[in-house]
Amino acid sequence: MKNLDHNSAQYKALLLGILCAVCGLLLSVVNAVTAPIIEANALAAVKKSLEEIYPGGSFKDVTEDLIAKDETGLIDGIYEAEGQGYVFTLHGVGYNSNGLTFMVGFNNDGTVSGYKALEQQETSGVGSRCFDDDYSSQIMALTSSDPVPLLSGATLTSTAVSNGINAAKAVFNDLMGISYDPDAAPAAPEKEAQKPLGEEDFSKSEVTCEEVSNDGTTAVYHCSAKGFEGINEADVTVNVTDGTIVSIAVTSFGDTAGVGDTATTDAELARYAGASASTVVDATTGASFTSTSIRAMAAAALNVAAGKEPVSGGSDSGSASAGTGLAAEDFSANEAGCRVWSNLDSSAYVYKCHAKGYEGVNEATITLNKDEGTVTSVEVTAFKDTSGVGDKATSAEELAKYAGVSLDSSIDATTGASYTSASIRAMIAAALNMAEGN
Amino acid sequence: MSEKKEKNGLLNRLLIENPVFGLYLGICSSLAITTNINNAIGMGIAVTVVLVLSNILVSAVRNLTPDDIHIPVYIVIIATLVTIVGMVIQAYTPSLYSALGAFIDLIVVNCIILGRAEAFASMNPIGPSIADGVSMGISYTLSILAMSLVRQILGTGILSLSNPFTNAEIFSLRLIPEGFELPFFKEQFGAFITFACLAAAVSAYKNHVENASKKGTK
Repeated sequence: MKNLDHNSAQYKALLLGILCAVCGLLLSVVNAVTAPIIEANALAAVKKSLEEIYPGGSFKDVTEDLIAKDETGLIDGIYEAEGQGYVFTLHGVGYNSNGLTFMVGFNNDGTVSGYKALEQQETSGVGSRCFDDDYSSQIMALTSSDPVPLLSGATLTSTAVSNGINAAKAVFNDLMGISYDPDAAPAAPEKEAQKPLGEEDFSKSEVTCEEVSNDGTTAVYHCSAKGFEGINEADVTVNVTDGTIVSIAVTSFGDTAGVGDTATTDAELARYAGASASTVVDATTGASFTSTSIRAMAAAALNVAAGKEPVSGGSDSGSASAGTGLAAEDFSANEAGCRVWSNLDSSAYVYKCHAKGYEGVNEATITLNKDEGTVTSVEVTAFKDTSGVGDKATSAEELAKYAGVSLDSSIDATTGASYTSASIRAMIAAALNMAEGN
Repeated sequence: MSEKKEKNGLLNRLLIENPVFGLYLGICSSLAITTNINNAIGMGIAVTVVLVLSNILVSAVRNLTPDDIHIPVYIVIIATLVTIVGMVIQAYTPSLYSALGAFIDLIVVNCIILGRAEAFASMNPIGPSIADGVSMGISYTLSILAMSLVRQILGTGILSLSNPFTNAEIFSLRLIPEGFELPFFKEQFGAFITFACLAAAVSAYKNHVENASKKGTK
């Protein structure tokens, strides 16, 4: 060492090399001494939980030996209760993004020996039901070959639980040489026998419906109902004569994106077409709350159409349901106003009008035939509502519907754009009224 | 070193040269772990052990280490010591390990240790380096002990100590009646306030001593 120059690169490399070797050796010695103790400590931490499944059992942490068999990555730990069975600690993500941990044990004969949450913050009364006595006893009744039942209304949480248990089953069955069908469908989720729309209790959904239009055969109701975390709104079109639903269009979605919206797809909503108060419409799996809110709105609209319930909360007065047309409709909320643009030719009066739509004030140029009291054409000059929603009411096709309309005509609202279409109808009514000198 | 300073050597070392309140070193961990005196004593002992051992080793290799690689050499030494201390704590006092958490590993970057290695051990023989490590370690321990005393008593109303090896309680004393404790002292801003008050007190003492010695020399 001494004949090496302290500033030469070789010396520095050698010094660092020796230092690292010595430190590495020291570390491995200390690690060899402490590692078994640390492992025993870790086992002691879970031992309390394990003893709830196998009281007084003697446990061995076999995680490292067996974890490679787990293809899902959901298994955190595997513990062998000597001569009795195995306990798996598992994690998953249910509704709460913080995830949940739980454990499940299998006796050596394949029956479930225990099932228990370790840490979970699922919604109380919803996802948390996956860890209450009812569901636990369902799990406890299983064997390692049985599929795991899901819990309706708590699909996310019970799916997380079932995925975890399936992962544990796979490892356990592989270990014990039990053959089973991993793809067997779970027993149908336990459901309360679903009642027809007209009989189901939707009081929790706090649904309200407002009549948008009603021409005696078809009526459109704008309804809102509580979903899982927000309010959902939909326009429900009802065939008044036979009391069936023609279509449902969801206009506002207040639930969890990626979860509740599985209940609002076109295909799901199409299931409601033709439904009457006596039809059973199944809840959408995985989106029970949202689909309940939609079923509640459907049921409420049917009720209103059948005259069982008064139209609630709307600005529409009862007279609208008498179907007497634009003149009778109450557009006061739209605060419509018009000014004369041209009144030289009584067959072509031109008005510039404005009216409140859903979120802004829409403007239109309306041409009238004053002599006949009818609309010639409507041209929307400013659109301030939600594009992609309200603009359905401003398409050329929709606007063409207004040609020839008089104060006595009743005009259907544009489904899915009821607010915007109300603003247009309000402007038309205002223009017609003005032309008549009202 | 003046004569007067020598006389007050111990007090000065503990207060004016106090690493935490005088030199503002190692504040990160002292803010984080001073929620109870158990943590403070455990952390203090861990830091003192690492500090003394690193001072010994750094002092031992000081003549072998070329200047331009002294930082890597010291860091390897300190990191090895900290890892060993961490493993020992995890194995024998798991409750302390879970309470201190990442701050055990973070002893590596505690400025006190690298600071003393740089400023003292690398220039002095082993004997004085040990003495320096011990005194710095003790004053660090006393500093965080002072902070945790304030925070534990004001924050929980209880002063308690337990045996980290068995988790058995050694003593527990309620000093503030229930309902009158100030829980925010358990939180981060409680740590900052406690730190600021104690640092201000040390600073005031420091000024007082300096003024006194100025007057004395006049």
